[in-house]
Amino acid sequence: MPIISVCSPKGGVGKTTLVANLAYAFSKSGTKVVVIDFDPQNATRLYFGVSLTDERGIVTIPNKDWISSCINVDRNLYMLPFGKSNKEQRAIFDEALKQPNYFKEVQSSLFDNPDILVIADFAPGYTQALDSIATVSNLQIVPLLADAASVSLFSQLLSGGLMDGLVGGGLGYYIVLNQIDNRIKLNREVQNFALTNFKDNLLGMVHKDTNVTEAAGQQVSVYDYNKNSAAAFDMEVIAKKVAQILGFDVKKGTMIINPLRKPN
Amino acid sequence: MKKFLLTAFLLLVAAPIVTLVVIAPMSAHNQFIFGITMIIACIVASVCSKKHFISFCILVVTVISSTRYMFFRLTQTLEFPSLIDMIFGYLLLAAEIYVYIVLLLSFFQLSWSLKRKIVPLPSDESKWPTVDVYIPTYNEPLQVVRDTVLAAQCLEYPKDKLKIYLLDDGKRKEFAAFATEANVGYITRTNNFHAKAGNLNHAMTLTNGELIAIFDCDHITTKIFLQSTVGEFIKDKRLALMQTPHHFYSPDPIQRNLYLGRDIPPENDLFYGPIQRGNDNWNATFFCGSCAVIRRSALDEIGGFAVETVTEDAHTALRLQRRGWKTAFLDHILSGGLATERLIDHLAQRNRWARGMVQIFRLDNPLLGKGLSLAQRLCYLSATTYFFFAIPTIIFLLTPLLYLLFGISIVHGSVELLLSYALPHLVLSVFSNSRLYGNYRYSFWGQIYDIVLSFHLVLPTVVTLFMPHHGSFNVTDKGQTVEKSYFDVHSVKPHLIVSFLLLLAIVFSLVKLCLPNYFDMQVGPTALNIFWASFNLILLIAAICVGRETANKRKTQRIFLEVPVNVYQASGACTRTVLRDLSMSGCRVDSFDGPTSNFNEDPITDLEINSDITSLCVNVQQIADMHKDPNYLHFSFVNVDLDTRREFVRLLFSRADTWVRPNYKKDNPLVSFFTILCCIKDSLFGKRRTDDIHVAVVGAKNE
Ligand SMILES: Nc1ncnc2c1ncn2[C@@H]1O[C@H](COP(=O)(O)OP(=O)(O)OP(=O)(O)O)[C@@H](O)[C@H]1O
Ligand SMILES: [Mg+2]
Repeated sequence: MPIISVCSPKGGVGKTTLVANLAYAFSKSGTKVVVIDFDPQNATRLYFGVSLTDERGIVTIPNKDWISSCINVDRNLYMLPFGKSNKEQRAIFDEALKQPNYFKEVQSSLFDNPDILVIADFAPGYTQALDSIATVSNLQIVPLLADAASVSLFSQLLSGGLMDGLVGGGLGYYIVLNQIDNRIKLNREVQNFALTNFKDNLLGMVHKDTNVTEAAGQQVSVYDYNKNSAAAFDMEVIAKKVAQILGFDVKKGTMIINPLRKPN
Repeated sequence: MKKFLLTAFLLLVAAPIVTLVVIAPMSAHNQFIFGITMIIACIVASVCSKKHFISFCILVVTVISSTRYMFFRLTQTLEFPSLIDMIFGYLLLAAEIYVYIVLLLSFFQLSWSLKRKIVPLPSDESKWPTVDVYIPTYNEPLQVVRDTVLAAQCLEYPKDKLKIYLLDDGKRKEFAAFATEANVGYITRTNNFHAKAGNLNHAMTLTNGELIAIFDCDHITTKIFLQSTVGEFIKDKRLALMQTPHHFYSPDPIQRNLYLGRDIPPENDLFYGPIQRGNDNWNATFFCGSCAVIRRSALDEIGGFAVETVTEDAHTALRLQRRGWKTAFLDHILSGGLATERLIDHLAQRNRWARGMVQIFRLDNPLLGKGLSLAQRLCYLSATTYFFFAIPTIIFLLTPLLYLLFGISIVHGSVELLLSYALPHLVLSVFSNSRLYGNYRYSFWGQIYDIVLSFHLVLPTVVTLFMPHHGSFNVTDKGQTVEKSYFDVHSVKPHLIVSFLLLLAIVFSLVKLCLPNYFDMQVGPTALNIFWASFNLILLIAAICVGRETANKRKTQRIFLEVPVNVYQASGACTRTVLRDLSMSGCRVDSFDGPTSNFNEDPITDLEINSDITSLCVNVQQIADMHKDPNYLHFSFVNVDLDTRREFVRLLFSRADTWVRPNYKKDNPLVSFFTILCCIKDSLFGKRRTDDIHVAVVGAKNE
């Protein structure tokens, strides 16, 4: 099954949010999903109800078979936290990742399993993990914020240089525009800019929606927190598109969130 | 050869037989049998087949029976005991001859109708002509004009080939400001010579598009208007005009005050369907002032829009056709407008049309002059003489009074004989009209429309007939609403008086009939006249009901539209739900529950519509709903800027499928008459609707 990396040159743009909610969307529609956190912040686990005191993680077992330490979060949904780490541990981890074909050889049991969809979360910017996974990753998703600052990022991404070699592998990279807010004119303009420049490489847009933060606070998916959330719907649509791009069938595209609900 | 044989057959065989059938005298008994045979034959034929050929045969039989009746009237009924009887007798005869001629003309006009198809534009955009869109306005409120302009901007046509102009004859500052803000051209002038025609002609000197599309200031176009109409101009270089139907999305006074929500075809359906399609078949479609495209070079040739009459539209078309230009009618509803709101406005509008048509009849008579084919002359004759219907209508209304009140007998001969000729004529003409265009106008409604207008049209038509240069252009009021229900006594005063007289005559005669010892009444003629008077009375009362103006509070139209929307709350929560209906001023969406559904604490501030047609975001304010239905949330829009408003127009009015003519049930004359009785009953005694009666539109399904 494919590997999706969610990365971005910038921090706080919604990588972890997207990873968590994509994972929920896929697992709910019957796909086995493993989420791997490569970010030393070790925060992804918080989206999956893993307790704060649980400090296990892949950072301490770079050369072991990770699959044995997967935490089962939900039916079909597993997670590998980064783990609590110090500087030396991270250095050793990065060193291990540097081995050529690290993912292909060492973690083959996980990455070659045809029944599992892997979604990897990364720290912002360049990291060794991102560099190493590029050899096996099928699809890269780059969330960006729909704000004025992103416009310069857009052009750097388009002209190359910023994430070269990191996001080009597999089927290439796709943009998700996060925190769109149509009440704000500038925000709309950024959306139009992204639409015209990224065209088909724009995977989708996610509304700015406090349901997202509330859900994160309660350690549940946005959909579970509020099934009417606009952001939850947007992310589900993105999941459907990802499935389509990767060519696997997610229950023939039926949505958990019915786009045209009848009043009850 | 085939043609020759056909002509020979018609002349040598058919003509003598028909003549014989028409003139052969018969006794009342035989004529009854003959008439009933014809009626039954037609009904059977009609039930068995919907083919055009059968319709044509039914028409031929109808014409024969009517001609037979007219021949009988002319040869056997014109003996009068006194001068008074003679005068009235000839008046009635004249009215009947008028109706007979109109029947023949309308059969000619309607029998062969052309169902024109849209000619697609060539794929090479460089071949598309440039188009100027003119939106003339004089005194209408900006509120009415605004959406028309915004809708024109939504027209799908290459940007560099489409220019939109607001032609403001009112020289209003706010219109100029609006045009600038919306980014359309604004044209005004120093005088108001020749009203609308002058306004258009003036604009023509300032713009230079190859085609000119004209929309009255309340006719909101759909985005496909140009794509549907321009293709024909490229294909046919001699085409000067493409007219499309005027469709009204607000109820006209007759719909509002008399139909009371029933599904009955509106008055103008007959004209913008069968009649114009029939005209089109003879290349005699005429311009109706709006929702049409005209070729500039053709207009240049006749010196612009005709200014001599108050119906510049029809006259312009006539002029074009005299020059050999073609005109066409496309029976697709591509725009929607506001009907005249009140009866009094309706009367004023028809008054102008009547005067204009009579002016054309006098000043540029289609029977005379160069350049027209016989068929074209007949079609234009039918149009220009149409409004003379007022006088015959009144004659028919009043005639039974003469006998019942004054004993004046104006038709010579026995009642049996008269009935044996008249009944087939009347029954068959109702029947074949119903067959010919029953889906567009139900039986007897035409008479009601005529009666509503007739008393008000006599003077204008007669005066104009003798003084064709007299009279000015009056603009029809649009976009007002009737705030409170009231009875427009003034507009139906003549109807009230005649009704009273008819009622008096009926009662008076019934009393006389019941007391044969005191009064000497002939039962046959009296009964016949009572029946006639009662029929008139019913139609008159229906016309009077139109004067009972029902309040129409809703200012904007609402349509049912099912699209997903997102609502933003003050807290920053953004929730997805479904829009159910939408108007320019507010909307209704499905309510939702969840952690954010306490709307008092966390009010909804904005609403975002995302569909394949448009995406827009607008400030909203939740409003209380009369029905208190917890399933829905109601909003009114606040601070709608022009760009947002344009998107609303795009969503509400501009879609290709915005206007669909509803499928009306097939006409049945008896049912139709019964419906009229029901309408009258509801109008007089029923619960009158005070909420909005709007013309619902088929909602576009998204996804
Ligand atoms: N669509 C959204 N609407 C509202 N808040 C959002 C949305 N997406 C993300 N957020 C909030 O923005 C913050 C940052 O999100 P998140 O942690 O997913 O970003 P990140 O890219 O993973 O950050 P980092 O670079 O630190 O890993 C979080 O508080 C999250 O709840
Ligand atoms: Mg993160």
